[in-house]
Amino acid sequence: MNVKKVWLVAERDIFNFLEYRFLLLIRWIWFIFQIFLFGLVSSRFVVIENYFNYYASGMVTLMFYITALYIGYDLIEEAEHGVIDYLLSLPFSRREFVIGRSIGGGLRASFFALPSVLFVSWLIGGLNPFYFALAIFSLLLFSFSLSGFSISLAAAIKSHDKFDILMGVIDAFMVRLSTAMYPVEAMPRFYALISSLNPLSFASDVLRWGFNFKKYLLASPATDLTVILIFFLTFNAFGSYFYERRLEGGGWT
Amino acid sequence: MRGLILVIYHDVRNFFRYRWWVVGLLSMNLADLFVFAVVFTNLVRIDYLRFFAPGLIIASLFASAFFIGREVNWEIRRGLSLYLLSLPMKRTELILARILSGGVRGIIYSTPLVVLLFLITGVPDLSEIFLIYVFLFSLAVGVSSLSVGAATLFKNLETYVTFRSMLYFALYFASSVFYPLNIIKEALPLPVYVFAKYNPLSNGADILRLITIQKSTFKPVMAFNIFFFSFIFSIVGFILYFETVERT
Repeated sequence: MNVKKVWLVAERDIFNFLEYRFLLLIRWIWFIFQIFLFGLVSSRFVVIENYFNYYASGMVTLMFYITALYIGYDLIEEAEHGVIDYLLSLPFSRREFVIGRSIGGGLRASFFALPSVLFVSWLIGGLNPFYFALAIFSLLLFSFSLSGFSISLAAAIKSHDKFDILMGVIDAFMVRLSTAMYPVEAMPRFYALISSLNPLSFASDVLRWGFNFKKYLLASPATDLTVILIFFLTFNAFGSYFYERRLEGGGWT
Repeated sequence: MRGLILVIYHDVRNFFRYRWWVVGLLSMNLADLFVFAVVFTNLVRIDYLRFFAPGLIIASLFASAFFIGREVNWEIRRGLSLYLLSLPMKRTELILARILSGGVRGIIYSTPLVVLLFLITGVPDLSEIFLIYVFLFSLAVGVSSLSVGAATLFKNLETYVTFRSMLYFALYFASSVFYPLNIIKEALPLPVYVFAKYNPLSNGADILRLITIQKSTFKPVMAFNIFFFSFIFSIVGFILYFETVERT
């Protein structure tokens, strides 16, 4: 596998992301409203101590989550506009192409979401640089995993409408059934069980740990990192496999 | 009158063509009610599920009625309004129909959620149901007009989308849909509280709470705020849309 070629594919996805600049701006507006309206008001409303810090760090994880999933939409758009056929004619292997896309999808989400991490870390203060660096590394892995997940889904479904619907449903439940917004202790048993298996919970958890906010953690940082690593390996392997298998032969609707 | 009904029918049918959007919104609303609100009940000192359910109706009505603005903006940018002007009906009729259809969509979309609300809070009597729908329709028409008015202000998609999102988030988060007004007063600066207090979404959510949960009569000022908002925005939305189609 030629690393330079993989990077070329990833680089293209990173630059393509700038075309979403207004969508990204909206995401930032959403983030500001979430933190300074919902976060501030609910911190007075909720009985959890320092809920604002808890909520703000959850929103940062959601910034990674949302932007990393965009890559699936790119795939579908490319298929709709016939760009995939052109991409397949370029001089790199299918594997290089697929891995490049996963890396590009994860990296661009991380570039985009990183300012939100720095902003919230400034708001919360009192960081441990080592924990913080490890948390950022985990979120980077998490972004790659989500890109792989989004690629797998898009390649498996091959339909814009179905992808949109499925992402809407997954998004609605995956976010709410995680510890991004509230701790597992507050959840009914069944929700708590799902939330304890949700990778988004582990990503939120590890970031809180990085922010030195150690209340209401779901697991130890080592467990968080292990789960994210498994998620990363699974979905990048799946993503590569599906995308490589289903790239050709048309069938995109 | 027939033209008006036909345009409303066309717009309502069109709404369900965006099935990915409707399914996404519905999933979000259901997840908000059955997951978010259930969990939040354990985090706050009130029965949050009952508090939030009326707020959710207003949030869903708002999102679905607001959607018409996207289509109007798209039509203006793509020149489709010229086709609409060629239809055998008066311009005033056409514009009124577009504004009303946003309201009708809001009512249609939110009705299953209203049924869910009644399952949670108990079914009110017929006169109260009638009253609820008068307020919901008035609010939906106001939101639809606001959205149509905003859609005519910008020809550039990106500027429009940014403006629309800011307006949407401001009305959505600075309201009593998610939390009581007194908490907003404690937590946020006075201007935000004043905005939230007069925000029609707050008035809509609070009126629904009064009718369905507290079983008490609402304050007339709340009803006035909703009708006043709808009236002002209907006029502004109507004029802005009329001016835009006249210029094309």
